[in-house]
Order: sequence, then C-alpha cells, then structure tokens
Amino acid sequence: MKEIKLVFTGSMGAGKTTAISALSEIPVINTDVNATDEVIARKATTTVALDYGEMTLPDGQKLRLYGTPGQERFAYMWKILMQGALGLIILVDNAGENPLGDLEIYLNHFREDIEKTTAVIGVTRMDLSKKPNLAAYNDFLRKKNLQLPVFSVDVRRKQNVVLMVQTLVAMLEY
Amino acid sequence: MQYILSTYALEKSDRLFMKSMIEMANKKFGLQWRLDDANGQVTVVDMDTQEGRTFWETNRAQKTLIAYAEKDTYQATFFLEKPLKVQLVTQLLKKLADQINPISISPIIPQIAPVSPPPISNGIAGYKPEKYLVGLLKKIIADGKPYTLQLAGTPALHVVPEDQMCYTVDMDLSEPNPVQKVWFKSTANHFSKQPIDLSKLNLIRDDFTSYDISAFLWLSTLQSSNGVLLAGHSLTNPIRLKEYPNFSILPYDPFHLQMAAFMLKNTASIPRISANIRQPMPTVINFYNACAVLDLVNIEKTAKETPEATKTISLEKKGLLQNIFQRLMR
Amino acid sequence: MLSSQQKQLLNNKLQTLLENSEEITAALVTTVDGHLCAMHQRKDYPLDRLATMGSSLMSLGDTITAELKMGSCRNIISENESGIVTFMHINNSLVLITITLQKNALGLLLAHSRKAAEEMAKSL
Ligand SMILES: Nc1nc2c(ncn2[C@@H]2O[C@H](COP(=O)(O)OP(=O)(O)OP(=O)(O)O)[C@@H](O)[C@H]2O)c(=O)[nH]1
Ligand SMILES: [Mg+2]
Repeated sequence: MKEIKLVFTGSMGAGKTTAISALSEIPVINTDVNATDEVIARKATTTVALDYGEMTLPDGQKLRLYGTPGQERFAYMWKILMQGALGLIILVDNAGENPLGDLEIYLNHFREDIEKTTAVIGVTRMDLSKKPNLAAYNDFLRKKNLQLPVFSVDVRRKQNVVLMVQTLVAMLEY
Repeated sequence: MQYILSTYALEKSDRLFMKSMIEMANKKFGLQWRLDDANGQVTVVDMDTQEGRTFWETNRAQKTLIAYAEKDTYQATFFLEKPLKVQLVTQLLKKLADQINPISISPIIPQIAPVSPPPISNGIAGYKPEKYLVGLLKKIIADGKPYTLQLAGTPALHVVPEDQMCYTVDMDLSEPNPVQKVWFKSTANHFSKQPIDLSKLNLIRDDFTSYDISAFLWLSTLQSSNGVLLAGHSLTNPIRLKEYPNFSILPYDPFHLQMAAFMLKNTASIPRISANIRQPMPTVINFYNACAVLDLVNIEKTAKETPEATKTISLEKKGLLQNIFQRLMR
Repeated sequence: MLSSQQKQLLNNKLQTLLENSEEITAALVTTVDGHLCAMHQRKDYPLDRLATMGSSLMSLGDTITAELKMGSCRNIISENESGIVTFMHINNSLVLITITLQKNALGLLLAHSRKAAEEMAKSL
C-alpha cells in the first residue's frame, strides 16, 4: 500500500511545525536548528529539513504529516516531500512583509501538485496583522485562476488545524 | 399569584436553561413562575439519574413531580422531554399554572418561536431575512451605528459595525444551547433595539466577549431558514460558491465542509447538490441561504452545470478519505 | 552572526586544508541553518546550494543520532560513484563540508577534515 501523506508548507514562521505538533500522536520528528540570520528576531529556531508526525486512522493505517522548511533556499526539500502526497496545506504568515507575495511563491512552486491534488490555505498570525484581509486573499486566488479554501487560522488551536485537514479531505472527495 | 418550581438532580447547565426559560415564559406570557429549589410547589426531576429515580419513588405520593427524561416511561402526570425546549417548558408551565390554581391567569399566548414558515413548494421562494435577527443585523451594518439588541429574558447583544463585531456574554457558537438556538431563530419583532451611547462603547468592548458579526449573520440565517429558500431565488438555477466560507469564524457541522467543497468545485442546482452530498434539501437550502446572505455565492443563470461524474475517485480512495475525516472528528 | 574577521579566518583555514591535502577538491563552512560562510575549491561547484543542503543533512544526522541515543553525530559520509562528501559539526552553529573526487580517500578526507574542524572551533 502506498504511503498516505499530507504536506504542510508555507512561509517561514507561519506555523507548519506548530500545526503538525498539534495533530501528531507521536513526538514530532523535527529538524529545527538555531537560526543564525534575521529569523532570530522572530523566533529562535527554523526547520532545515522536515517535520514529521503521524496519526493512526480507524483502520490502523498511518496518516503521515510532513512539514517542509519555509525558507525558499530549502526549496529542494519541497519537491522531495511532496512526492505522492494526497494534498497540500499552505500556511501564510500575515505578519510577514509581503504575505501575498509569499503565497505566490508556494502557489507557483506547487502549481502542478495543486492541480493534480488540491490545497487549502491557512492565513496565520492575523491577530498581529489584520491586513491583507481574507477578501484580498480570495481576490488574489481568483486572479491566479485558482479556487481554493482560505481560512484565517491560529495553528496553536488544534481545532483550526483539524478544520484545514478536514477541508482538504472534503476537497479531494468532491 | 406566584408559582414556585424546584429542580432535583438536574445537571447544572439544565438548571440554568430552565431558569432562563422560566424568565422567557414569564416575560412573554405574563406568568409568575420562579425557581427556588427549597420551596417548590412542583419539582422537575431528572429521571435519567439514579438519584432522581430514588427521589421520585419516595416523593411521588406527596408531591407534584415532573419527570424530566428522554423517554416518557414513567407514566408521570407531568412529563418533560429532554433536551429542554423553550416551547415545551412554556406549555408545561402554563398547564401547571392552570391546574395548581383554579383561577386561570394565563392570557392567550402568542407563539414565541418563529412563525413556522410555509413548507417549500415547487421552488417558489419565500425566506425573508428581514423578518429575523439577520435582517436586524444587516440593517445595523448598513446604518453603521452601534445598537443593542435584546430578546426578553436573554443577554443583550451589542452590535458595533465599525468593529465588524458583536459583543455579548461568553457562548460557544459551535454548539448553541437550546435557549441560544431559539434566540437565533427568533423573529425581528421580538427584539428591542436601542442605540448605544458612544461613551459606553469602550466599556462594552472591555466587558463582553467579541464575536465576528458574520458569525451571527450566518447562524441566524442557518437557524431561521427552516428549509425555505430565500425569497427571489430559484431552486433550478445553477449556483457556485465564489469562495469557501471561513469556517474558522463561521460555526459549522462537518457536512458543511463537504457541501462547501462540492459547491466550490461544481456549478449545480440545489437539488443536485442535495443528491451528490446526500443531505436533505432543507439542509442544503439553509446552507445556501447563509452563504447567500454573506455574499459567497454566484448565481450562474447562463452558465452550464458541471456535467455529472466530473470527478471519479476509486472506492478505495473514497474510503481512505472518509477514514481521515472520521479520525479528525475525535 | 560571524564577523568578517571570523569569516576571513575560516577562509584561511579552508585554504590551508586544501593546500595540505591535494585530494580534497572543495571545502566549505555553513551555518546550521544553511548560510554559506566560507569556501575554497578547485572546481566551480555551486556551493551556496550545497551549504543549505548540507545543513538539512546535518540536522537529519543529528535527529537520527538523538533518536537512537548515540551521543552526538560525529560526521555524515556520502560515498558516491565518483567521489565522497563528508559533513561534520565545527560547533553548535557551524558545519564543515568537504569533497573529494578520489573514491579511496575516505580515511584521509575524514582525518584532515576533523583536524580542520577542531582547529576552527578553537580559533573562533
Ligand atoms: N500570535 C500568533 N502566533 C502564532 C499564530 N500561529 C502560530 N503562531 C506562533 O508562530 C510561531 C510559528 O513557528 P513554527 O511553527 O516554528 O513555524 P514554521 O512554519 O514551522 O517555521 P519554519 O520552519 O522556520 O519555516 C510559533 O511560535 C507559534 O506559536 C497565530 O495565529 N498568532
Ligand atoms: Mg518549521
């Protein structure tokens, strides 16, 4: 049986590692290291290879949750991790400098995968920066000719992470 | 003439609901019930607890008791069905008031619950948001000034359009309790509406919990639609979601996610959505109304419906996806 | 993070490393989060990318070692059809990556790299 997996990607510090930790039944395997650059101002560590977590499905199969590094210099990991994934969750840090620009990076990079599978977008840290608002994200997607669910989320709340994954599954089913 | 009700072995939340329902019944219908566990003339007993059943056995001969349970298996003179519903409680209180005191004090009672709308018939539309809470909210948003809305016996709702927020007591919008459900269904004319003094705004912001107004528009439409399509809309028009509802703010049931996914990816009429998602038409209509109130749908009069079977996935994959969905419900 | 002086120092050490052992084709120092700090090479490899990849690999190595409770990861070796690459920590924040095109030079590569890494750690 093929590996069953979902991938979390998106901008640096948007909360991929946090989101996977919220769902995983096992301690998340993570490759966070101390940041040595401007990232430090935001948070102490950053993912350089992958995050990995697991959930057991009712029939005993494992759902594997992979997180990518956020920073674009690690883009070679993105393709590796996406191979064979059921779908993609893109997290965007709304408190970053150019959130829509960030989103575009991932949409462009994963365009083929998104068309083959699907994606759900979670905009995080909206409590820190209200703009752009969700309407701006939806407009942006329309311009890119994509119809994908967009949520405002706080990945520290498990229910928000569950919502994204359930939606991803619903998008795959219908 | 006063009447006193007491409770026995009720869950705390049930007792609280009971209290607010009594207030609602009193205010609306001129009854004079109050809750006092020590001096009750009549006692509501939770029969689904051992404690309650014992109390029942020892006291049924001397006292007037109301059996509160899921099923009426006690041959009780007075039975109240679980979970608590305003209408049932009200009727019961009225009936009791009549029997305890020979002088009938109850006036002719108007219906508290929303006027039951006509059933859907051959696609002729009829849900009018302006008749419900959602209409009041929309009007306040359009006016742009803050107002307090109040339904007798329930907490006030402070609506502040400039914040795009409502302020009220703590509540769990994803699981409204029976009183709140009735509240969301209530017709506009049951609410009083008071402008909020601008000097009080900051107090309100500090003292109450804030909620996105859209969540209130959404819930009141979902709750009050009763399966009746929005006036002026047609069941046969193909429709499509412009965007996926932001369910991190809008309360949802799991099947709403599936409905929304289908409606985002397909252009289809309501009957077809209902068939594809395997949800009854009224459910789809309620959802459609709520999406339309938030301006999330396109009515595609000219567009063609997405052909059937645009998407075929293997049974195995479908099973897998359902497994994942189920796992996340825990 | 590193001063330009420190970077210069690292560059010098890498230069000495390559001068002392002609089997080594390229050597570089990267931060654990994948920023190239210093390099020296006889070819023209795109070492920026190698620096980031090296940081991913080193952290996977550390993760695996921790998983197995084997102390700390001394080095990671990639033996290939036409050469060898090694990765090792200089300290908590820097990683040394060395490359040789000689298939039989593993022992030598490790020995020289280890020595260079220790010297760099001392002098920083
Ligand atoms: N204030 C606020 N903080 C948030 C929110 N969501 C996540 N965070 C915090 O943001 C940080 C996200 O960090 P990570 O989970 O490491 O982010 P990441 O996406 O894995 O980052 P990289 O691996 O470096 O790309 C954590 O400290 C979270 O607690 C939010 O909605 N609001
Ligand atoms: Mg991370």
